[in-house]
Amino acid sequence: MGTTENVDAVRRLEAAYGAREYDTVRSILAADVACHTPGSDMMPPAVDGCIAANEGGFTAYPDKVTEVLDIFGEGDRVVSHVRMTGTNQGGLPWMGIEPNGNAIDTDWIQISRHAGDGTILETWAQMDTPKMLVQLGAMPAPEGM
Amino acid sequence: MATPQDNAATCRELIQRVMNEGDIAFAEKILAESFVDHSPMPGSAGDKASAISMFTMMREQTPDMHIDIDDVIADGNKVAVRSTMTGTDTNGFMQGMPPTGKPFSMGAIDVMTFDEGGMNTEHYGVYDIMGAMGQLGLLPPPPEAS
Repeated sequence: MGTTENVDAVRRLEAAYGAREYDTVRSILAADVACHTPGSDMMPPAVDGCIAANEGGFTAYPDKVTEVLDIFGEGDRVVSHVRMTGTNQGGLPWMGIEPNGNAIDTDWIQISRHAGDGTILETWAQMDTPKMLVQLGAMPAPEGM
Repeated sequence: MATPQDNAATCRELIQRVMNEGDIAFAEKILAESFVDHSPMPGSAGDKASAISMFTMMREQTPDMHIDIDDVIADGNKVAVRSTMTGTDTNGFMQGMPPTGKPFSMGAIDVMTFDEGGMNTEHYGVYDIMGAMGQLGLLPPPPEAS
């Protein structure tokens, strides 16, 4: 199995999102990639939605940086743990959040399913959204924090 | 030496026995004394004792809780589990939240690290807390855009 190639594809995808190199993104994601991330039903379908989500991130946080903290795979699937940092200079209008200069530091875990040539066919991700909303001042800190 | 398949089987057993059946003693047996939770509940120490307390508390908050395993990926000393937790919000979704009595379904991805003897040494995870709170009507309304 091409686990090494699949891991490499995820690393190249994260780098391409960071550099906003969307030809590279489209070469790694299948055109009809199925994304099972909470909130993806609010985005355009497939690869266009992935690019729109990344652009939305740069609109909110123009200095957005991601870092792959952990990555491994088995068979046709890869697990990646990614940290995202940035500064809220653009706001998240759909959540009623104004630009406020707050720093965010959050993370997500993604599982991707790959074709034999490494192309990503399907993704499942969970992002630590509550942590980000607390950092943005949009949600009260939970008890004990 | 515990193989990735052994560790994957341990994760399945941990979820079934501890979370679905309430057999907290199995967690006592499988979590290493040096266990570190890198994504502990707010205010929690993230050690073995606090992880065991969290398992107990989750069972108390949602007595009918059930976790279905959707996928398991094991490589080296790590195992990722993608799962869906369902249950009825009986005693409060989180500490300090009023019980709603409503059913909820929450997606999760957890990653566990094991030592050579097959003991669980580390954990991190991310949960669709916003999705579940939305189903329970617990999300604060977005602030007014001025």
